[in-house]
Amino acid sequence: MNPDDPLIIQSDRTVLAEVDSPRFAEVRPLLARFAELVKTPEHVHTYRLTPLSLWNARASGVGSDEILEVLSGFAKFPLPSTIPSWVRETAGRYGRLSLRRAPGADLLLVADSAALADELIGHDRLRALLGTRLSPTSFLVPVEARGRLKVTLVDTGHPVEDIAGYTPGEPLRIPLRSHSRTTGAAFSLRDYQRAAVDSFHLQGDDRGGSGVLVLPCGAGKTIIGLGAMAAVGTSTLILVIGVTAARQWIAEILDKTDLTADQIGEYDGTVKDVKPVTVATYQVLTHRDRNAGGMPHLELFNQRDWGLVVYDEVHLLPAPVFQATAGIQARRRLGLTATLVREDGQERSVFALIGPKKTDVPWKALEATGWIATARCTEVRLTLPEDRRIPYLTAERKDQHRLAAENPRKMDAIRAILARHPHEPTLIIGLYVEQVLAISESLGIPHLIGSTGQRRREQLYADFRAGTLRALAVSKVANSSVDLPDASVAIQVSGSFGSRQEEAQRLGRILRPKPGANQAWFYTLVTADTVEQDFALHRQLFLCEQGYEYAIVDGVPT
Amino acid sequence: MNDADAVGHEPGLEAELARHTNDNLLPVARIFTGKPPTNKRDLVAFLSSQTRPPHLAATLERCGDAGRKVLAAAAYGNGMLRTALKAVPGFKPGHWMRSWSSSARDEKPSPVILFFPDGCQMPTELRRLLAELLPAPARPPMPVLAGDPPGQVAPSDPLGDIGLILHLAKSEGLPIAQKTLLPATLKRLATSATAVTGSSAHRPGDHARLDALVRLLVRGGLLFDNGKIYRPRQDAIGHAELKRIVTGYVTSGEDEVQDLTSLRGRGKDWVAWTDPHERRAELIQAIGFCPIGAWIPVGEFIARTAAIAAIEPLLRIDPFLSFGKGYGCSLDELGESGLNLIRAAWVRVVLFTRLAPLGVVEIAVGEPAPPPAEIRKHLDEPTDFPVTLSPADTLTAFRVTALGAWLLGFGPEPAPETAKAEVSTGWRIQSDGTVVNLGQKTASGDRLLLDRLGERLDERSWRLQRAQILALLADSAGRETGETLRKKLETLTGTVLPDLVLRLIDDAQRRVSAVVTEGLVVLLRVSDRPAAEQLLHDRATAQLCRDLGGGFIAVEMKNFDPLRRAARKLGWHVPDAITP
Repeated sequence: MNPDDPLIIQSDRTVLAEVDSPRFAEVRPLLARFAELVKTPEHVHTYRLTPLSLWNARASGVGSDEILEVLSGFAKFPLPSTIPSWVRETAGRYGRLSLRRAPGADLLLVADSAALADELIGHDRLRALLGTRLSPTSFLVPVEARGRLKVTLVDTGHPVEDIAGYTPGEPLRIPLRSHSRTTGAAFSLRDYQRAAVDSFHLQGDDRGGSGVLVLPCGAGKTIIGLGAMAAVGTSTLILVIGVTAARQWIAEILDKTDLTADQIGEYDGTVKDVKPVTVATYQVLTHRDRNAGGMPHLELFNQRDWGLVVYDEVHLLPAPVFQATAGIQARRRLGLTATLVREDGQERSVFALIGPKKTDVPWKALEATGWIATARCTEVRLTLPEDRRIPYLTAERKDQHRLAAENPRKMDAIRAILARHPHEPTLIIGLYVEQVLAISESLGIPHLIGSTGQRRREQLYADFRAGTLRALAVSKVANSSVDLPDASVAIQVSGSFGSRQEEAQRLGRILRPKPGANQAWFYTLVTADTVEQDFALHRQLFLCEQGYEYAIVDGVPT
Repeated sequence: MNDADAVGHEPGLEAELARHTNDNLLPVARIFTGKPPTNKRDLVAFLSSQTRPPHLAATLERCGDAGRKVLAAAAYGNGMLRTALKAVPGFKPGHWMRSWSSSARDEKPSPVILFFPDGCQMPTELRRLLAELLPAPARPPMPVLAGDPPGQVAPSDPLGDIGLILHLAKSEGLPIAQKTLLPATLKRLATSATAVTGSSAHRPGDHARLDALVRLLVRGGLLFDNGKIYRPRQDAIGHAELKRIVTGYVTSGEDEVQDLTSLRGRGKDWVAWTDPHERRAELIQAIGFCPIGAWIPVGEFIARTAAIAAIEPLLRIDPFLSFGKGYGCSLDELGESGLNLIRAAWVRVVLFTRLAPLGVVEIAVGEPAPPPAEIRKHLDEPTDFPVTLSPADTLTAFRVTALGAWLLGFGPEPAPETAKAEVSTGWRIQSDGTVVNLGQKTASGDRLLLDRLGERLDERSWRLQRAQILALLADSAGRETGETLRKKLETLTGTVLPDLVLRLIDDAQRRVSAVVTEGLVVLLRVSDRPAAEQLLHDRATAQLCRDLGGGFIAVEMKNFDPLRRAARKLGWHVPDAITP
């Protein structure tokens, strides 16, 4: 214990980490292994110990003694008396149950004690999933119950270590190229990308092969996915959140691996091509057939002998895909995400069905090493013109947000910001299509909205990447996985400001590394003294909690 | 239980001896004479005389060294025979009841038994006599801990806690019903008190401590009953008032045994047999032998104190006294072990819920000790016995504070903490509006300030809230401004505030001062246009009213009568207003 040490562990299981402590840099990576990062404002970061965070730690080989050693070794004050016993008890639950291969087709659930096995059959939901009790400590488990059993065990507080292994899938060599096929630039995995792949693959061990990699926006999750595919060397199904993302994955695969176009299939609303590597959208998988009922495209999971399933943006995984995933637990599964936080609170399902967290790279570490850009967030507060003030005040509450969002003074602010960054590629993001169109028309710049055709989109992206297009007005499509590598400035003219995901995604659009100062700017235009300013408080809070530099400017910036 | 067993009963030696049969008295009398009296009254008088001068010295001689040690232990400490016997392990005093057991019939009584006529307790008069003749037994030093106490330390800050309670009572009323805090109040107090106790995991303990503190404040006259709302008589208290509260508690007749929630007597009532005031006085005397500032393991303290002080919470075994709820063990089953358990629980309650809130001791809390082996052997099922008898069972160690030594009369008055000493140095304020204490202790003043400015996030963190800042500025009637708040926060954190926090405060200040209440006005509706124009523009009335448009004219209340008079002179009648 030393007052100069960085950690304060509280009895509500939150951990405060003092950024200015000389030992903070030392403890941060250690803490990330077993605690959930809650917020990272400038002086004190907050972590939380949860059952899932401890089980994730156990799954990656971190034991309770090591956890307590870190906590007490870096603590300013003695640990609360309840913490050691809670950590030992909770972390100790992981590993008490294991799921193994049984002779024959079934699986074997093995408990470390007969008492635990008795407790399991005491649960109605578990009893329904368990087969014959072979011994005081083991049960047969029907292979089709593997996923549901894992979810139910996690729900009942008994995480199971799944070492029943995987089907190898169709073999497929996926060598990574040393140079980009399109640009010829040298290419290799960065150190943290290589480490992430290794933590997932574990050199083919049954304890690897399923899990989630958490990396910030701009860290190259697609590249890590390619690394994992190369390591496993098998037919792969990649699930992504939209057509644009699907095509970007395909482009990356073609650019950075030796696979050829005829080996890669696209499976979405317009094309349904199943190849050794297939990229499908969540949307098409969850498409409901109105005539036949059900979701026929979920069959894609069984159309080939996939050896690996990659879930991009796993925090957005829809519930039906979870259910389908429960049925493919014998296949290797890789989740990629910037955050494990789900708005629907389904973190336990991710843990049980995709796998435990394998790596978590803090964005500050990448920012420090230049792998992602430094972002500066600015809130620009603009008053409503006099003639809009009374209509705003007398409007229905539900209409006020839009009236505030469409403050005409925002146009002057956009112009001023564009003038401030004359050479930076800029995205102007709006919630309302009419507003996006108006900005596009007023500034003479192209727009990209939901109804923009795919061909037009790709042309706009190509122009934007090439630098021939400096500014682009976009609607909510900017929230999806649009990859605009050269965007340095984002101007948010309207938004719901409520969702952490939306904010993170929008910010992610500008975080990819930039040449030169590696600096990005994120502006939000807010109408002062309106409901929009109240909403902006949430967003301000979120960004400050994440540790971004945040400033407020009154009036049009000069 | 009959009246003779009630609190404070001290029947005296002869009365107690008279309860025994001649058969029981004679074996004891034969220690002193071969021909004891046969008449009971003479027999009782004979035995009684052996305990008083001039025969007392000879009787003590007959007791031998071991017997005198037993008597000295009882005279200077706990007057109970079974406790005094701990002074000489293995000493056999014999029995009064000849029919008690077959082996007892063969056992020759010691003269020591005479000093315990009821088989349990020595009468006070004999204790006083013996104390004049026998030297006090050596008092071994209290064992102290070398390092940190087990569990978590709950810093003692009585003036801060009392300040918090008084503040809550003053600002919004502290609803208390039937001597018990309402759950919502408890929750609020416990939330605010987590910094004092250092742990929200011990919320039941926080409740107990604060509940007790409120009761002590009521008894001390600092909170007064106003129906169901208690209100403070004053804003803050100092050492002198605190000492008055402590003295009031020490001399009170309240019995903390009743705080043992898992103890049940016959029916719903029970009565403790020893005088709670005397018992508490003995305990406090024992505390006086503790070195000030040193951590003492509470188990050791109880064991040591039990042998040297009259701190028995119960004197006799009552078969109807039970532990637990429906499946508990009764005290007659548990016997001595049960009594030990109750005594230990009582000592913990006094330390935890009375002396700690009053700042006499500082305590450490942790996991309650499991029931001792001699209790466990009576149990068939774990549910047979409550895990704890009260929240105070989590007490692991305590230490007497300098303030506590003064409050109990064992030491000099410590210097009051200066305002400077109260200010923590480990505070951080961040752009997201969170204020975090990285120092060891949260001073009560800081806690009070931050509770008013924002939402408590955890034991050490607050988030500033615009609505609360606004309310504080608005309710302070100008005493607090954005500027004073900024200075307070800068003093607290020792740094300039982040821009976003400054904006938060400025915004609240702007919203507080944006609207000024000018006072009451009278609204005139003037349907006659020439009348309106004349009132608004005539030299006599123009300064007294203001045009609101639409035929409405506003007149400040102070100008209303002059306006009416002026209007009358101009030939208009302005009707009187209905004033509130």
